[in-house]
Amino acid sequence: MSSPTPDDVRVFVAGFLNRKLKERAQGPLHHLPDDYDLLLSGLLDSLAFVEMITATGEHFHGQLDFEGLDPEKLTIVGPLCVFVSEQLRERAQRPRDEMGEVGEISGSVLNHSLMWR
Amino acid sequence: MRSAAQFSERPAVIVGGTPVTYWRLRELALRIAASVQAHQQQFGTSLVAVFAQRSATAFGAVLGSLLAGHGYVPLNRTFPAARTRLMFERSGCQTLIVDRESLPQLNALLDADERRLLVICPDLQDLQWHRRQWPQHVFISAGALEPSAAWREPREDQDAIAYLLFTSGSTGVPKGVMVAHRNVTAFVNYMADRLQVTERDIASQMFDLTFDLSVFDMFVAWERGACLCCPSKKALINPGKFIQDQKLTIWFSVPSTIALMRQLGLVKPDRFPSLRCSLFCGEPLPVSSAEAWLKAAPNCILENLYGPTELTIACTSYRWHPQRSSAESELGIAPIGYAYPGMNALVVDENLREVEPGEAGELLMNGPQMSRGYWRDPERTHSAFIVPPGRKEIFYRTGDRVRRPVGDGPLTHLGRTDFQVKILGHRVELGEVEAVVRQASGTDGVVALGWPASASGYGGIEVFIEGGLAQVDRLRELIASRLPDYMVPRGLHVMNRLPRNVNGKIDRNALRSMLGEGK
Repeated sequence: MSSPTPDDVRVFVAGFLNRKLKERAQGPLHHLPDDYDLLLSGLLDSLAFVEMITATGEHFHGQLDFEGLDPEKLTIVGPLCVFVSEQLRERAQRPRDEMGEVGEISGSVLNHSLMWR
Repeated sequence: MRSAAQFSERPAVIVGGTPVTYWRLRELALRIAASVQAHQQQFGTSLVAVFAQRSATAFGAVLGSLLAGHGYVPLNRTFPAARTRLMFERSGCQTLIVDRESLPQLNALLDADERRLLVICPDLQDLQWHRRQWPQHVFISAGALEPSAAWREPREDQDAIAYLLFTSGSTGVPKGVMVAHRNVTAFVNYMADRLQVTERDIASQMFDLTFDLSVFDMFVAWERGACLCCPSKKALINPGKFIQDQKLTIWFSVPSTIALMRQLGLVKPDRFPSLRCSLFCGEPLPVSSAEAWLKAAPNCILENLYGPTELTIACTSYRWHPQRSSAESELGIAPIGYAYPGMNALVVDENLREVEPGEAGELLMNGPQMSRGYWRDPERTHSAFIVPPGRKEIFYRTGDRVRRPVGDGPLTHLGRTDFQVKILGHRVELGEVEAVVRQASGTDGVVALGWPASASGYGGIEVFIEGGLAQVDRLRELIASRLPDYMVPRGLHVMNRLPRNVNGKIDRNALRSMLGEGK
């Protein structure tokens, strides 16, 4: 599978945010500008942001490693989409045994899916 | 006050990247205290509400309330307005201190209150709009605070309430736990000594004021002149970077933080060399979390703390020992250790009789950290603070199941008493199911619930797992090979993230609601 582009990531993020807004009985986002800060705008809190990041990784079948990323930029849409796209491309090119602990628990996770009935 | 004099130019707290010195914090606290005292005749209750969070005003308000001779009642702007209003009204507070960030929520609090209140806003200069909006209340702006010289030292009363903290009640109405100065003094003195805190320490401030673990953050650090460091909203996303950037030496959080950080790839070997002390409290600490954390923080001692609000922050602790601790753990959870000095632990059966060493039962405790009970609620106080048969002293019923140690071993935590359920007539410890799933999945975030309710208990067990699973079939085989049929989960729910409550703990009630919705 080819790595997602920043625009692919943006489409997923927008979908995630609209699902959140729907849960809160709020209308969808019509525009998601590059400089939009997901945290400071109040759209997500820190835990919901982490949930979005893990969901993004799962959606694109890759584990994201945020150790090196500056949280000041991480929550802004443009830099976030570029970062996720680059990380997934890099990790797709690395052998699995270099991925360490994160790689060990990665896999195809379903988002709140019900299994084993 | 002693630290303020001794370490006046050192930072007491860093908020939003800006250090606030002990001297500046003292001045702010004294001005707030003097302002509260100046209006004592009109608004003379023993408690002051602090509607503020991680700001200089929040910390000044806590100290100012205490310096005025009052206890403080923390309120939280992230709580639903109706809950905050209920806590405020139940506390009977007539004085409210508000920081700038909480002001947008002030309407919800004041609109519904017909009492005459004193509202102190140390972050605002102009309060004309507020005075027009609520003419019945008295507002004090930053410029109108009394000078610090006007402060008068109150009479010391160790039995007076230091803070009133509301915890969730089983009836849906929050209970206010009255914690006295003598309770807090016993805890702070012991912890500051035990951890050898000094003015060179930089400690995390991860807990909201409405979570009593914040009392450790503030008062253990300030007792010894250490610096408290508040994460920004953004820093909460990457706590690892926060530890590194601020060169923290003391870390204190709920164990769930480790699980979330591991999920994001933030807990790797040798990443946190500055930490010399890490504490975890508020929920069970999985062995694998403790081991991963110690690899990331190799210069660090790690302690698992235990304690309900009613016993003042924490009343037992266990220091992790790399060679011994894994064997001393039970169900994959770190022991809760040993009672603090003066605290007595009693492990009892259903009839409140002490069980034999090695047997499990409910933990009862008493001692200098036992609080005064519930605010204006003698009925619930009497049902939770009891005298067991054959004894003369009052003990607090924790509702936690522990194993009574054999010899000088540590106490081990087995779950809440209501986590022991009946499935098809069998008594089942949900903690045991969680331990097996944790081990088989390699994931720390695991919750087992009895579901659905039946006349004799529950029809089966449902398990929620946080994070990823590569091989579900293999997991199913592993679990089935280790548990009897009636304990094997009927449903396995995999979620990117388990729901957390406002304190960062896994929210079991939310998971139960999800099962209800899916029915």
